[in-house]
Amino acid sequence: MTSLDSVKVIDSQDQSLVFEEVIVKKRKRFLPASFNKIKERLVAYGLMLPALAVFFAFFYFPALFLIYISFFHWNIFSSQTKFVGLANFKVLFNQPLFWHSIITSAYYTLVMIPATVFLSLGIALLLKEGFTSRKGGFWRGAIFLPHVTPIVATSIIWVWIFNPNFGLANFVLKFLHLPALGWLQSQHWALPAVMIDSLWHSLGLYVIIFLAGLSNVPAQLIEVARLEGAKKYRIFRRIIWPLISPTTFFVVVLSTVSTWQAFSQIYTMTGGPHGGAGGPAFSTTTDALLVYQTAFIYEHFSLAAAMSLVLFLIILVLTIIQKIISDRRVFYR
Amino acid sequence: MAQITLNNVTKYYGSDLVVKEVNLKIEDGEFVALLGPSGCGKTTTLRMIAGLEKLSSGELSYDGHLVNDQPAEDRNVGMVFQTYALYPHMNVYENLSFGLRSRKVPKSQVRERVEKVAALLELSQLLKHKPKELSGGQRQRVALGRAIVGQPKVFLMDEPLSNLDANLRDRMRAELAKLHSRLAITTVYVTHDQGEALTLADRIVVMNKGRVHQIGTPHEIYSYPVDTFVASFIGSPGMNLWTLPWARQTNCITSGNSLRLPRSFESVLESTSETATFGIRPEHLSVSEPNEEEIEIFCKAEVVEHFGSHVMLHGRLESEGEPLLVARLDPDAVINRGQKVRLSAPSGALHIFDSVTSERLPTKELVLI
Repeated sequence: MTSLDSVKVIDSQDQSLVFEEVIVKKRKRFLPASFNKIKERLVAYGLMLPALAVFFAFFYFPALFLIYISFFHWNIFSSQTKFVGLANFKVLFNQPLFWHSIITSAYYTLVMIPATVFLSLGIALLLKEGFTSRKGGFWRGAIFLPHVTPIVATSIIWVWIFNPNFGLANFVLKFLHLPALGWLQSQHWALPAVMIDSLWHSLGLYVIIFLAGLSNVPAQLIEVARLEGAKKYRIFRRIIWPLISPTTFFVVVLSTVSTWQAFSQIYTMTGGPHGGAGGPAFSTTTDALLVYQTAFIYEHFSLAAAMSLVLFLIILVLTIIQKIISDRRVFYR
Repeated sequence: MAQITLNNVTKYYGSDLVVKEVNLKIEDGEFVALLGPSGCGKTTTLRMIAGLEKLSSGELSYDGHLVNDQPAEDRNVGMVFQTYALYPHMNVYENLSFGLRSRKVPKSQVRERVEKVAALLELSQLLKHKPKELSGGQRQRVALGRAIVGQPKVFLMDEPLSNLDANLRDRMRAELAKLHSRLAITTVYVTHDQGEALTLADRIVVMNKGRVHQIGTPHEIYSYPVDTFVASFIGSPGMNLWTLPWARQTNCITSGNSLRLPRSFESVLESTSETATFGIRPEHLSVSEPNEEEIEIFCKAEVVEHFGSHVMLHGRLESEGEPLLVARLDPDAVINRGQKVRLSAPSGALHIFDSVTSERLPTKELVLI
């Protein structure tokens, strides 16, 4: 055997020894490691289970069940369930009130979103620029307060404010030498009155969100822009607005979802005296209100489920459109 | 370009005094550095010059015109911030042209001026890039370009190099010097780095705790510090300062067994009490036999560091309190730890300060170096 061969032999022996050691080590490590992992996961799922069960029972199950019953003839008070395919949707699309409710919801959303963004951003800018420290804290608290009050309770107050005979709204109009309005009793003014209540209630949240967004705009960028001769509007349009675009996008998505789903304030202010349908001459009958009326006044649960599914699809499509627009317009740092 | 005059400029934040009665005249085209430790009021002074902060009292003029109430956007100043403050959603071209478009400069001129500045700062290939796609040095150059493209009367810089690594900082410092000599725009430069101030500025304003300690050329600031703060702040390492009692001898003045001065300093020391603060820069000390006109110092070596180009000796004087001594010696100096060392310095290298007021005693005429 040459010296080179002996080296090779020793090498291969060493290698096999090393290889065996690795296998033994791996085997040793493999069993307890995988066992530990499974144990860890079981504990994790076990801890999550109560929360998941509640979430499933009150969120996923109703949502899935809603899709299910929209293809059936189903009533909560009857055990007879019959598959009807798209029949509920056919009935729905042939119902003029359904289309009216979609248009009302769209009108409500189209006014509410720009108004929400414009007013909440405006107030946030004022709060950021005009008020600092303790004063700022007071105004932030004051603006946010309506959002934490129950909307049903505050809507009752707004019903009183919009009373055509003794309400505060008409008192202010008279004071400004403007003609009094019928507000909730008027076909044209009922929905705007509800919008005012909704804006008053929701603005606080959006103001706080915008304040958070504005505080992320570095002060030095605004200072540089000032030094470069930019006036306030240009600084807002060219610096602040693009930099807060992720916040604006978030507010738009959030308010789109909440306005399409708005129910409590519309029902409280205009639903009750009109059989739950909303407003004089259905003027405040939004999709969400019609779902309620169809399900709980007329007990057409399957039809209401179909309506809800359509409402869900509308919100989904709107959100997708917003996402596509945001990918082009929103600047993420 | 503009001449800037600050007359008793003072700034309070609430009841806190941050800048106290600053008097300064910056000549047309001059490069002035505001130098001092963090919180000394240098950035606040710069921001007042820019118009980003209101003066609590005093007067600020550009070319003799009072600008106290003139908004920042009307002062025509270019400013570079430490963080560069580039608009992150705009590309380099848009960043450079934003100011020009804000001032409604015609489009054709905007393009021409942006391209000219981009060429000057070697940014021509990067005009379509967003700031996040640029390196630190490139961002720095865009910030500089944005400040100069508007042809400002005054150029303000707030620690513009402090976010760069050491190599890039040296390179950018040289570029800044070149840029200033080419454009000759009145420049106010805030820094806590004495190296930047000494190499770039025509004059340095040394500040501490809101107060101006000294205004002078780099040579004046280094060679004739007006007080112990300036003496210790300027220089790396700072000046050795020893507050010691002194006594007349037949041929000399001594301080215990550690310091011997020529008799010629007697006239200066007579104006002080029994103690004085003596200052010598580490680089003026050497291991050599002193003659009668030189200063002799005895110390005990504690740490000896060999840097190749020089030796740093850290020791203590054999005086009361054993004050520290640092000496930058020739590379061939052979000193061991614990050794008693005799050092010498030319008499012109000695600075004497009043031990009570910390102010410099008039030894200027004695400074020979």
